[in-house]
Amino acid sequence: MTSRDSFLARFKDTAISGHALPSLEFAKIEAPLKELFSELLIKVGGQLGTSNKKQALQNFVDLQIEDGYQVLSLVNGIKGNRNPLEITSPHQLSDIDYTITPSSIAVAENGSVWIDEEQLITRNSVFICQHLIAVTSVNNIVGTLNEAIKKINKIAGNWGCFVSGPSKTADIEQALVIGAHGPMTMTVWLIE
Amino acid sequence: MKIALFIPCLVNHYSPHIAIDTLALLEKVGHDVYYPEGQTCCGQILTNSGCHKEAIGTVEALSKSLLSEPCDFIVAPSASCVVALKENIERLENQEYTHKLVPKIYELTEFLHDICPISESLKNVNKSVSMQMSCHGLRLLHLATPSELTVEKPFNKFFDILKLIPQLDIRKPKRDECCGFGGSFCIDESDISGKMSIDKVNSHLATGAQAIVAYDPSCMMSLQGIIDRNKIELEVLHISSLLNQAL
Amino acid sequence: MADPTSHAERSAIFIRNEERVDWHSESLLNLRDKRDIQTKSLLEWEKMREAASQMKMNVLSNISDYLQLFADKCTDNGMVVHWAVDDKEHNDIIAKILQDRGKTKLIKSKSMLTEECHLVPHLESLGIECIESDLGERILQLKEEAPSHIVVPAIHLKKEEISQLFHEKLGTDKYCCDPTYLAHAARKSLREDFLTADAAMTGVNMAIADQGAFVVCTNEGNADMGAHLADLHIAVMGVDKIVPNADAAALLMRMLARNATGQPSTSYNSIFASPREGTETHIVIVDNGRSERLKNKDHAEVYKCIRCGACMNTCPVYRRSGGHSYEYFIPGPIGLAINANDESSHSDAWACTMCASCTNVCPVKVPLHKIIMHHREKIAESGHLPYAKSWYMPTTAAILKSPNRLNVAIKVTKIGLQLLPQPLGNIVGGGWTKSRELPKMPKQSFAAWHKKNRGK
Repeated sequence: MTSRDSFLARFKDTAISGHALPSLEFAKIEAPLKELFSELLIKVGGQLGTSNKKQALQNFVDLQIEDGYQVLSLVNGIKGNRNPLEITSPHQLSDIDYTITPSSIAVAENGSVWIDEEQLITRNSVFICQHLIAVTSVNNIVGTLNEAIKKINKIAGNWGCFVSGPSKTADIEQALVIGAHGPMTMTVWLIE
Repeated sequence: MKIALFIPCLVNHYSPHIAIDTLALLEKVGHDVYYPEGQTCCGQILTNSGCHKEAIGTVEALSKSLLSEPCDFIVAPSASCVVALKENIERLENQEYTHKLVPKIYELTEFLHDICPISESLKNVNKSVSMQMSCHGLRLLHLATPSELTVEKPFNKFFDILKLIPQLDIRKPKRDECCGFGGSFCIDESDISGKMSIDKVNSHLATGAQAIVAYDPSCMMSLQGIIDRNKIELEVLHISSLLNQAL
Repeated sequence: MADPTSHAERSAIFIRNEERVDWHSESLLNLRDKRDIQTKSLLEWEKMREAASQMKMNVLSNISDYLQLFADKCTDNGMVVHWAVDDKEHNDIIAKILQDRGKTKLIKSKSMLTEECHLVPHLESLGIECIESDLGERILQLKEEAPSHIVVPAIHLKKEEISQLFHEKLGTDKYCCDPTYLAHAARKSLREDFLTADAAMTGVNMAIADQGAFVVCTNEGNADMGAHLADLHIAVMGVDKIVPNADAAALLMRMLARNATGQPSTSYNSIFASPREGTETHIVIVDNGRSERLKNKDHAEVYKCIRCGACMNTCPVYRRSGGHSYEYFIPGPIGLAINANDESSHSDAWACTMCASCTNVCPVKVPLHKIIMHHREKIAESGHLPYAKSWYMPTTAAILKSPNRLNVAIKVTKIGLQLLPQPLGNIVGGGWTKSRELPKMPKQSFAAWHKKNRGK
């Protein structure tokens, strides 16, 4: 197999040279961020939680549990009916209906939230559930992805994802279908 | 201004009325216009297919002809030929041609917009026209803001000139898509080209205009061919004809 | 009839069904229109394009250094980096990784690089099952067809055709062609494959050099679903996927979906910078002709491309001829810019009217039409022009450079066309007369009129 050095040597005669890295600072979005975030979240097929009180979310969770749904909560103060500590393999999540996860950053320009491994039991919690609920605060909303990326606590050595609405596809005649392989719905609760 | 008229071979042999109208209108607004003899093709028939070496002969002959007398500007009623000529002259790497010719070469619309605006009052022309924004003029000569770009203040030099003509009802098709002429493309890929041209004619028809108004004779030829084959009621006019009519 | 060998011949077949061509073209224009809504609402869009272009030029200026930095950081993060000079080595590396671990079922997300290297047939020949998890790619896998677009691979297929295919292969209802029904049937079917796959493969949208991280953007969540279940994740990338830092990656994440499909973002922008605990992540970095093209200053800028496909969506020729009309596996303007100089693609370089719309929509300002023109020049120099140009271009040049010769040629043509019966006139007129009348020849040229009326 090719060694690193002999591979890299193939690029020493590249014809493009001398271009400096430009400034990568762009305009922030100053507009009312909560309103913009909410608007974009809906636009990308997501939903907003019905209250800014944690108890309201717990009530919602309790109703789902009553109806027989499997709820995995990774948020302090919200109790589901699956114990995160019992999850030792992502395959065990295949019957999860709801994953509830905290999020440290929300992005107004595309209605997305940042969810990373530090807040999860296992990465696939975000994808394998039927319905994803992310919990964050209004204070975590920034305008653009350029602003958001600077707020990520840790990139190297981590895994994380900007999640913008539910999974979707338009591969069949450009018709938008909500619910591809990831969750069918995605809801953001902006909790105080 | 003293103006040398550059008449592309296509206009010379297929659409001489465009040259006659261009000459007439430039004289009517007070310019001293002359027509250098011995003009040849700008070379784009050849360079369009990558045959730059083969094009040297005609580009040099045309350059010599345009240098035969001193002038302030060289004006041509064809955007694609202006783009091609300027590029092909620069490729000759002849300092004299590059410095003496290239800065002076203008397409008619940009000349009337940027250099010598028309101050004369114009007569009414009661006609509805649909603007044919040909690609070389639009995207390479920057005659207007193309639809792809995000611009705070979109502009359209062609529209600005046409707007000077009282009573002229100016419309535009939904898209600034290519008409399908594309030089040798209309021969090499004749099926796609034909489809593109008929789509373009239909998009002009959809504006309800009586005529197409254009700044590029090659596109005009392509659209006229479709119109004649399908016996469509739609005139194809060059801007020089409309302006000459209004002066 | 002989197999079609040129772009013109293949597109002539595609265009026979005018209704279908209109539908195909409108589908792509729909993407272009959605793109425009997004890009025109971002007042800084042109500034972002310029910054993205310069950033990518900086990457190409320092590609070797960035690759080293990226590899070092990935290794620090616990990932394994491999170097593949060509498609064969790419395939061999991947086969070895899988075989050494006894893997027999690979689930993969979309990667044009794997198309480029013909990976799947190779793995299947070794007895490794490969499942495409992206819906468009899965459709094509079941249909045994190549993608016709780099972002929306099945755009050339109608829902009735997909319904028929799914009925045969997945047992769906024979008469239901509702996209939601079909997509959800694929969701159910592929769910089983995700849960039973023992290895996962993804492409890479951006490789962040200073973090040792790579970004994978999907709407379906399929890349993540596969990677976060299997205990082996192989990520494949061309060298040109490198970006210097996270700010650069964020810029591209803001531009990619907007320009490609008119979405503010893909549903998932997933940033991988470590293997999941107890699992392995391998990254295969591929050359396969990139270093060669990068040596040519007229060609190198193709590697700024971020694979948005917008150039295809706007191209009037691509929209009316379809991705399968092109020789190269990547169609449309970027495909021509990358490969139309190669003998294998010989007629592709003329599948273009030089309208420059592609150059204007490109988010990183690849000068697409200029590169395609450059390829035409190189092909002309090599003497391998298509469509009989080598035969008539020299004669044309000799006529054009002399006004007298051109006058004579025009006179001869005029007389000839008047004498010839109409059908023969059409043959002489060539492709022009398929859809157009020949131009009406005027009585005299402008030069003759000028001599007569202006006395010189």
